[in-house]
Amino acid sequence: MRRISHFRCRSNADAWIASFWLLVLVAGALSGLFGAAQAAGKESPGYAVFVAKGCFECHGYLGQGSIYTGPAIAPNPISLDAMRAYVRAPSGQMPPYSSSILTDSELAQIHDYLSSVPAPRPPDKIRLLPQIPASARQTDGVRPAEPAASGNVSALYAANCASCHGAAGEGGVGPSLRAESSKRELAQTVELISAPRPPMPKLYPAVLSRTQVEDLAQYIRSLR
Amino acid sequence: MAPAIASAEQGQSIPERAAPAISSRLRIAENQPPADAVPASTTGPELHVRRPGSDLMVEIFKALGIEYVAVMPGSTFRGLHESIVNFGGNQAPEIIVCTHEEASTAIAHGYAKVAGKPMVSLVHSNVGLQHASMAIYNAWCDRVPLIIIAGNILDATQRRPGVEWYHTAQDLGSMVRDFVKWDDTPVSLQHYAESFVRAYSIAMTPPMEPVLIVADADLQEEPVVDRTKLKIPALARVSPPSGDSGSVAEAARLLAGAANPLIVADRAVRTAEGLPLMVQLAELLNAPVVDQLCRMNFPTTHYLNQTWLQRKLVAEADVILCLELSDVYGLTHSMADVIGRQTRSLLKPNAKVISISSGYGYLKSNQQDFERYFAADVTMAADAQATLPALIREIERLATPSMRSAIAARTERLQGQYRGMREAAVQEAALAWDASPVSTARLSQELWAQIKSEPWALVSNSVFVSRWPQRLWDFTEHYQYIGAEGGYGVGYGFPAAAGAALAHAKAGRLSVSIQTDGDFMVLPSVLWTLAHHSIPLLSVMHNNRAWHQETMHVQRMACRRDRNPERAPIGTVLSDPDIDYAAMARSMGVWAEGPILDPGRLGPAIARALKVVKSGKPALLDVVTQPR
Repeated sequence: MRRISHFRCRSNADAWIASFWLLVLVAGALSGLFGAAQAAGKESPGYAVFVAKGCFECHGYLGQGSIYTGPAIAPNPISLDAMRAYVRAPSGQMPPYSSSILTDSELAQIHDYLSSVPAPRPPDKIRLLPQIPASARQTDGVRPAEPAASGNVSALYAANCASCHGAAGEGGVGPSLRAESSKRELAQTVELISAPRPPMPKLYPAVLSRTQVEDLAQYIRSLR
Repeated sequence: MAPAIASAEQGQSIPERAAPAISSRLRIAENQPPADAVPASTTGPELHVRRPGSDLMVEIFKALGIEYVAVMPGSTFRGLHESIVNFGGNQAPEIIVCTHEEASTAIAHGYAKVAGKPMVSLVHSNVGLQHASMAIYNAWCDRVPLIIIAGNILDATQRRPGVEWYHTAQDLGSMVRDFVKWDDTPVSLQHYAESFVRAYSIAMTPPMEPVLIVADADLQEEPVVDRTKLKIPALARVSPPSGDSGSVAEAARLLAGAANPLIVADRAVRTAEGLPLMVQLAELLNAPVVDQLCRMNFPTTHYLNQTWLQRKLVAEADVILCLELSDVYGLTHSMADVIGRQTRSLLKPNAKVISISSGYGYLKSNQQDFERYFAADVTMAADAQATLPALIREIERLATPSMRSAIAARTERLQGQYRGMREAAVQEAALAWDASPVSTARLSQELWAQIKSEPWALVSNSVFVSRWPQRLWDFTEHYQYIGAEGGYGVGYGFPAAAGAALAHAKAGRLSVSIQTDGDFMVLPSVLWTLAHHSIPLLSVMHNNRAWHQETMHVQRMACRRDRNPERAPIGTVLSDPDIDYAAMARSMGVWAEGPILDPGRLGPAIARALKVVKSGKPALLDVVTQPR
């Protein structure tokens, strides 16, 4: 009996010790991953270009933006094509970066860096931020559910519109799109996407085809 | 030199061969700044001036309730300085010692916005006035009452050769006349008394502005012959102009009948009484309010404060009420900083604009602070706060039942809009939350967490930290925010925060400043003034190691010229070496920690700093931050 009870105690102690070390290993792996992601971010060639070319001045070191100087461009940046189109010929106050001062290769590196910026912690997990009651929320969090749509169009939206208008059209840097169908006719929405008013980037025809513009217009009008 | 004269005074015999040396030394002494010794041959009553004119000047300070005089010492006001210290006992007014006249004047600027009354900035003739002029201009643009007193020696026969000629101007006021509301150079003590009281009255009548009085050295130092003949006049408290009844009625008619009214306020709320009037007006119309934040114009906790939806609201409004705006044109038009700088209207066709501002009745030509011309549909040269009661009464009188019903029907939409606006701010604040350098949202919220339960006041311009305080904190009291520089002149921030903290301390409030590094480096000597006078102020540095606005400007130029944007930091950054602000603060007697780059360290550091500030001392935290 004593041997059994002794064995049981030792087995429990071993279990605790094993659990402890497993926790240490997992924590270490996670921090290594987190640290690695951080190191990859700031040590990436794209980060160096992002800083050297002065992009961070208006958009912040993590592309988080500021209401006075420039929108958030990370995480989830717009597509490289959309970014190139805008950077070369901005319609708003952003200064133009021609290929002679920012090559396509450098721009691609910047895009890689911005794509590596991790998603922020959900605001409701940040104690120091005001907590919006769930009943009062306009969105379900950082990444609200998308409305049902064909995969292609929703991906098109995500790649070219979501970073300013929100993943579900809830707004952000750009206005909410949820009331689009009550504000304009379809033809007007198409026209707005094709010939936008600054600072909205002009993506047609350089980035989006006519068909894509019309598909996007339909999609946006379905957002609620 | 001095020992020889002292020997002569003591009556010791002077060898003949030394006499010429003493005479020449006396001649030299006459041309030197005053020393303790007096010529050996002068005795009798003319050695003393028992009732100098500057004592009367201090009596005037006391009669008007001037609590502080900010001073960098100067010989042209030595008489007044001594009278403050000895005749006045250095109490009400108390001297606040500064190492630069720009600091003393900016301290007075910040003080006035909290205390609701002017402080005096005492400057040394033309050289001191030149130093002060930047701060005077900021206060002029910001519509703040200040009284600048400048010493001078108008009588040429009374100026000692050399420095006193360099430090005198024939018309001292001409140096700043473009940006003071009134100035005078009194030539007698009675003239001085009347002018000073008049200056106070003018400064305090909207539009409130700085004023200048020249205190001639002779007036200060000559004796008062018969004090009973000198009178300090009563202060005329001029009631601010209110809008005329016709214009108020027209404005009320437009607003009551509007489908999408909008209220925009800039320097509307002058006193604590103004804030509930603003809320009453907004609720009566159920109209969203955009606060342009040159003052605290509307509580951020109220659903009608929709400041961050300005562009959308202006575009949708059919009637816009502008209350003491610096720039109605800028509200209703956009101009992108691109080649050509084309402007376009942001207004809906047929939108009506009502503008109420005391600035319409008073402005000057040379300095262009009046902004671009815009003809509002109803324009009142009147003080907005003074006009609000009449406007509210008129709206209540004119609003029909169907108007009231339409007004009430806006509530759900506006509440939803407000929630969306606040939620968007929270979502954006979460970006880069754990970043190093520290995000400005993180900095703001770490500070808020520890001050929100105190009687707090933010005494710095929040624009450089992307307005996070106004987007996330709960501003509910008039004194919690005092706006910005006025003239955007860098160097205002640190001394104005000190002046505001001086006023808040009397009311038992906790003053916090989010202090930018570029502004700080104009007048870092304010650190010493804070320590010397034990002014409790928490300065949390927003240290982005650059004159960041200018870096962006040069970058814009480089990109526009298609060459080397990476060279924009040349001449625009504050690094290499990085400045150790904490060490600088400690060197001048201010408790400090930093630099802090890890956001995790910020909370505990703020707690330690607050303990110091609550004990009645200043503290500084150097936090290295994201650019904006």
